Amino acid sequence: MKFLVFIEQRDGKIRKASLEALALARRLAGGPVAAVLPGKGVAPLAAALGKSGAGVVYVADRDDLGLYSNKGYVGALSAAAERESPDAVLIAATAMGKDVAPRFAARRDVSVLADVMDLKLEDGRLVGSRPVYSGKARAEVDCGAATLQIATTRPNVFPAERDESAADARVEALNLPDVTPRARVLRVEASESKELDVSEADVIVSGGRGIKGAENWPLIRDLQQALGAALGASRAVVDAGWIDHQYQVGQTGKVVSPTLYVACGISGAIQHLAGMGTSKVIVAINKDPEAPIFKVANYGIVGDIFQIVPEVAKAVRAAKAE
Amino acid sequence: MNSLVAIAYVPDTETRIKVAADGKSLDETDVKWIVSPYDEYALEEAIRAKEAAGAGNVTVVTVGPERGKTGLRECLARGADDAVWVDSGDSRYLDALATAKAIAAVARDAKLDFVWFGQKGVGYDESLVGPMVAELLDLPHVGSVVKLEIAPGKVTAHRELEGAHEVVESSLPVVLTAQKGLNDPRYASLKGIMGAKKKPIVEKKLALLGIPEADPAGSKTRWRKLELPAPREKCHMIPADDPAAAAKELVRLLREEAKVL
Amino acid sequence: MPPLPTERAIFGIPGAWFFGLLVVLAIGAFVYSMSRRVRVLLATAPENRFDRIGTRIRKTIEYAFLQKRMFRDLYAGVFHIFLFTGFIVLLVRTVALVVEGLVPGFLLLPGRAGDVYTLGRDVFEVLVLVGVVMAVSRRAFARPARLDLTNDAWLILFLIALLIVADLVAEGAKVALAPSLASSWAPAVGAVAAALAPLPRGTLRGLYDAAWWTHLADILFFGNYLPYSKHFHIITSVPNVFFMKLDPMGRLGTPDLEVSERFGVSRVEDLSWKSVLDGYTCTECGRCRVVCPTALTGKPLDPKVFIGDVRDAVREATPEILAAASGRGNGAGLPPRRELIGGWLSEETIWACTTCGFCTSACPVFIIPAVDKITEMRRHLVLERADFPKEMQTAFRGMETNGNPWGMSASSRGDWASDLPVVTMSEAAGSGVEVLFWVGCAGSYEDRAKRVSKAIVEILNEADVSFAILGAEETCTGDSARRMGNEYLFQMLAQQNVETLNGYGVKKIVTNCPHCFNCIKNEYPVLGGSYEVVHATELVGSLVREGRIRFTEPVRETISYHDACYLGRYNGVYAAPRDILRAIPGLEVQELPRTCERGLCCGAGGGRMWMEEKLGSRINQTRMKEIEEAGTASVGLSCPFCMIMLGNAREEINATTKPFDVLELARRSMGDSRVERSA
Repeated sequence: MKFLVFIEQRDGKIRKASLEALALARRLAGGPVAAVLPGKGVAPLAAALGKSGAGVVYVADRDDLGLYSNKGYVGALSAAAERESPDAVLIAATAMGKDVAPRFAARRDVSVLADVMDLKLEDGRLVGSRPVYSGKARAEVDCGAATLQIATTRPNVFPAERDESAADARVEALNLPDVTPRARVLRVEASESKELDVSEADVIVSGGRGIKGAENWPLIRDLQQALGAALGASRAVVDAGWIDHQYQVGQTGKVVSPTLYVACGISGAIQHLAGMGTSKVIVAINKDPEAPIFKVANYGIVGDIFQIVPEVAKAVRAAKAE
Repeated sequence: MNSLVAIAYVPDTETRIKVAADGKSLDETDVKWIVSPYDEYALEEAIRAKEAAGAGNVTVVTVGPERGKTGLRECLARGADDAVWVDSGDSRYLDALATAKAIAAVARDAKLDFVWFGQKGVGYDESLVGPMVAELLDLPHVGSVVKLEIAPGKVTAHRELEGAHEVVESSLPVVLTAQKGLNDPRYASLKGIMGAKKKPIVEKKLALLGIPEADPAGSKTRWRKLELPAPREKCHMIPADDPAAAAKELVRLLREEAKVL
Repeated sequence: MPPLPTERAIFGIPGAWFFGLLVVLAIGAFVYSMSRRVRVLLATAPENRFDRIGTRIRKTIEYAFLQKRMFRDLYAGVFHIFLFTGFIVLLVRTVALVVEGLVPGFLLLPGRAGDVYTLGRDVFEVLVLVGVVMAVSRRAFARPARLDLTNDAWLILFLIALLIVADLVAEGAKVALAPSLASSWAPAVGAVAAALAPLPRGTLRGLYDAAWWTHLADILFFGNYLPYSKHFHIITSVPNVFFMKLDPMGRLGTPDLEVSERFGVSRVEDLSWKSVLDGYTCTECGRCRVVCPTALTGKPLDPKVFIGDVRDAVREATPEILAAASGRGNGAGLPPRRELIGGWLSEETIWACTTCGFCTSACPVFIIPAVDKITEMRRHLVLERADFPKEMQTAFRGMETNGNPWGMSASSRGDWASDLPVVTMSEAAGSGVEVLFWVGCAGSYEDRAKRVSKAIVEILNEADVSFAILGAEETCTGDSARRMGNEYLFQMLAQQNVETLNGYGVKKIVTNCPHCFNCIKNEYPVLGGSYEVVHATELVGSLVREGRIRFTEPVRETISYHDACYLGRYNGVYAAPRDILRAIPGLEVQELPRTCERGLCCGAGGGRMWMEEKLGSRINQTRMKEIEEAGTASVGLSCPFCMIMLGNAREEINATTKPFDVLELARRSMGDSRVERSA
């Protein structure tokens, strides 16, 4: 079975999620697979993909692909698919991947197994497991009558195995026509310059009355930064004047639904729960074992946040460095 | 400014999910249905664009079983002008490509500046239909929009990436998918609700649109099974005698068990 | 007999003619002023206050004539009765005076009746003067916060005093001129006559004339001034009391939303005539603001100012309303009016109200300063404009989709009871459930309230009460929605509940939440749901009296009790929770300074629980400070909202007094249940 894997890069670095998809394809195929790598100045990165399971890498290295464009990147994927005629295409379900996959699929008159957390092969057919109903259930899905099978893989789920002894991939250049996208990226603005809004964030770290004073926010912010999260607060600390109202999570503040919500020193009164109760995973750190937050949390630590939180930040950084 | 807004009528995020007897679909008893929250941002932005321009039409469309009409009426109550229901007959899982083709068929009939979607529907959570419709209509698209500026003949959209915003300029017409933070959806006035009750909803039958994927045999994705994860009733308490060890254990669980890190 | 004052020519006009002219002019002006106001009443929205005439008459006697509510402030009650009764007597006197001015020798009542009348007149004139002195001293020296020292007020007091003094001087001078007219039935007049006696006849004659004309001018001016002053209540208070709201305080109007074109009150024209009459009747006594939670904490809502603004808005709108009513167009030539909402009344003012009902229960003439009027304005803002504080949308969505303002999953509403010996109505159907335990949103979802629900279950089981809950079939009563102005949402929720309850043939309901209690008891009947509704403390109280529950374990603490507005003021349930506390051995129960009808709100009512409190100081903290200063170890509560508000306040101000639901303590004092004891 032939696989083609879309490789995403940003600022000259290959996204780890793409390496995970590549390694997965290699495992399923039982041997090296094809990959496509669009971008500008990316040709030098292609050969090393061999370690992650690529046999051949179709490279589209052009100035006009320096900034992402759907037309350009889907064009590159299409051209590689023309050359390779794969049976299956894997794409990491990143923002770019979620942009590329459906357009490519529609172009090829097929659909996508989106955001799978598990993928296997049964008689040449992909069978995936994906979250549905806001992650409350799992659907086992396959590609039905589709001739070309496309799946996007959830980042941070599949191992990005490397085989240092594997050969470098063969690099083939794609010849693409000039592309004038109608939707043009003007620029990319990094989030470091502005605070990530709590209502958009995927990960939120919140501080409550347990932080004891506005001077202790660095404790929470340290964990926030380690997780790349947004900052939230309970009503109690906003009322106490320890932080601005824009961070308040709750019935009368912002209602959020992140993937991960870490509540530090928050008791979990119902007004707060009403604002974050649908978070996928809730972690609670509080010194009061009777705090209502433990009734809704998935993971809890009863302890002093001043001791626990710095350790968690340290552990998160260590894990991310791996 | 003319917009077509596609909405998905999905189970409320608080609903307890139960698997039906066939093992592969949702048990619909006691399910509360709502317009997918991301679609509300889309609808709000479309209505605002029409109000800012002083003229235009906002049409909402949904593909699914009859209950979707309730969702359409909620949108009419908020300020949409017209509604189209593509009757899928029943509520079994409908492949994204089929949905996209149905919506594209509705869109082709109209002269549109915008085709709006939510960045995902909180039912199937696929994030596929919007970009697929863009491809089918051969239109540009911008996904996960958190801010939109409209100028004559073009838009500038800020879209959300991991840890950054991409600023994209596009010509019109354009397909857009709305992300949380784009706006604060309005609440329907009672006048709007009463008026919506009387508005006619255009009905089309999915089976008559000539879409091979609408038929189970031609579907390009299929649900074979629906499962609930093992229920974790109680909070997993991590002993904290050693803060460093507790922290490491928490991170390990978040990474390996919850798979959120 | 001295010549009549009218026998003299005034400005060359024969006295009688001048007198007649004055009277005609005065009456004409009065009729003009009154007719404008009455026509405004006729032109504003209808309201049926012509039912239950017998009750209305009885209440008018009780409150307008015997002035029961005035005596809550004894000093004011006393001097006001002097003024009031004095006025009635003097009204008779005025008529007599007018006729006297035209017909010499006229005597109103001959013989002994006349003597009694004379004595009455005399005594009451003195009492009125005493009343005026009492009123002036209070205004000048004691200066209670509820009073504003306005020129209007001083003028009226001056006019009243002048009226009496002029009359006494006129009569006194007359008697001094013709001692044969002296009567032992008129001692005050006699005293004045004696004081004036030494004056020369010419002066006396001049004094008599001047005083007589002054008295006349004063009364004619006074009568015409009334419609323009806060003393209009002299004319309007009796009708205002007669047309009072007889429905329970906690029953708001239920409009038919299907047929209405407009919702709520947005312009003066939308106010009901009774609301306009309320505005006319306000005497600016300020009793309504004394324990108003928003006025006390610096919010823009002060009920006295609010009703004053309504009155002023009506006054401003009067020319346009009258022009429209008489078909003379839409008043195009008139200057533009200030908006009622956004102009006279800011939106913050309208959203600030906690609907605690203090202002309503305090007004001696049964004006409803805020609550009902504010709810009607909120209806306009929510139903017509969809314009309301953003955070309310979360509560509305929660109620719409999941049947509770917190938006917690509807299907898990009965989960609090899953491990408890409780059956649901659907499980028990048909097997003779005596009473339905209505749990409410807080009791189903909020941590502390769930524990109280559990305590109630244990108490009811101990007493062998046959009860059931609705579980996931229960949905929010909609009280919050209605108070926030979302009448549509309220009616939807209420109709759903009434259907469920009627479907099970429910006859008796017990609940611990005062908002649910008030809503189901007072507001559901209009929508087809009539049940016998008791508060949990009432039911438990009767169980204790019947000996089905015994309090065996002492709870040795000092405890105060905070009245929930919707239980106490709204429904008169003051005794039941206190009886339970007093029945618990060891508890020392004390009253708070502001208690019972004067209890201060916790701040959650009127949908404020779901809104941000951004202005002024915190209502819940204000009440908690009072509770803390009372110095008891605990405070007893009977409402889950009070529990949340005061529980939060306790943390916010680091107070030590611990809040407990009365029934939590009852459960504690019950000791081990029978099941536990037999185990």
